[in-house]
Amino acid sequence: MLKELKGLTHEQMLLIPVGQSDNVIWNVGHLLCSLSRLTYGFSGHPLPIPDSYLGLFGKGTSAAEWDEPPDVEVVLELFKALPDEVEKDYRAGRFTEYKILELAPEHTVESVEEAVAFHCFHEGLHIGMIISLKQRMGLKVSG
Amino acid sequence: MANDTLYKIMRTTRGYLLKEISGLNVEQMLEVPKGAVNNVLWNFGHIVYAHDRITYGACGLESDVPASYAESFKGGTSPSDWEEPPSVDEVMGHIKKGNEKIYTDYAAGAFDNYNGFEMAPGYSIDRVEEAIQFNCLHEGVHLGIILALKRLIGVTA
Repeated sequence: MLKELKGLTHEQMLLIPVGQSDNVIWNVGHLLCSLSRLTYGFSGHPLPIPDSYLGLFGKGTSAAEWDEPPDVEVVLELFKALPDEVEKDYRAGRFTEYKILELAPEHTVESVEEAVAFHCFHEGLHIGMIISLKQRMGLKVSG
Repeated sequence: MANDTLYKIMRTTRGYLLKEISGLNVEQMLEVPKGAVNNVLWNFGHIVYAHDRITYGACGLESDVPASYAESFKGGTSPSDWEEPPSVDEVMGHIKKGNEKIYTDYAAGAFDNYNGFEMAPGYSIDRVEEAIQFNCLHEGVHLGIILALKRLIGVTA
């Protein structure tokens, strides 16, 4: 993901191509919210992100509906820092009490290990969407 | 990672992918829309090719994925390279077959002699478990691209 974000200007991260409702930073913020919920949230801890982020980036939200764009730098810094925090807290045993999450009728997440494994797939999905956004903007893709 | 978790994420990942096949005809799978560089079929074929290469391929094992898929679908290729489009039915057959065989082969120790390789500078895959986990991310990337392609060609989810 970081390879694909490298070199993008704030303008490019906020651009919503014609016919779409998302932009690059929405995809990044969405993953930040998702990983926070999948680990801290479903283990009964407060989310390590601003309260407003679920309204900006949560499932079903859209960059096209923002009254004001979020601070891109803040989103990026939180996104980059979160995996290390999750690992540190995992090793400290903070995620042992896990509430079962039904993501879809045929898909339940029953432990933080399953949650992190799912997150890798989910992050891949949004990397793919960012790749497509970059192609639409005529930008080079790292691949 | 425990085997159960690994198998579960493999099946789940492929399940999400299979949901996106529905509603696409052959023409739509072959269309390269304006603003894109490949098509849905290329992305599905690439998934089949990559999954095979980093599991069976890394152990020198044969599989039923055609050798021609390297030329049609490996990284850096595109539909513009094809003289003739590969068979949609064949590619989708491999996708739908999913990962079932790999479970039994794994349990039988087929991947014990894994030849690790460098996926990117500083990132190596040294065991089949790491390959399977990476594959879940990789399938996600191409599912994301497929979803974007479907939107560009006007197919609603």
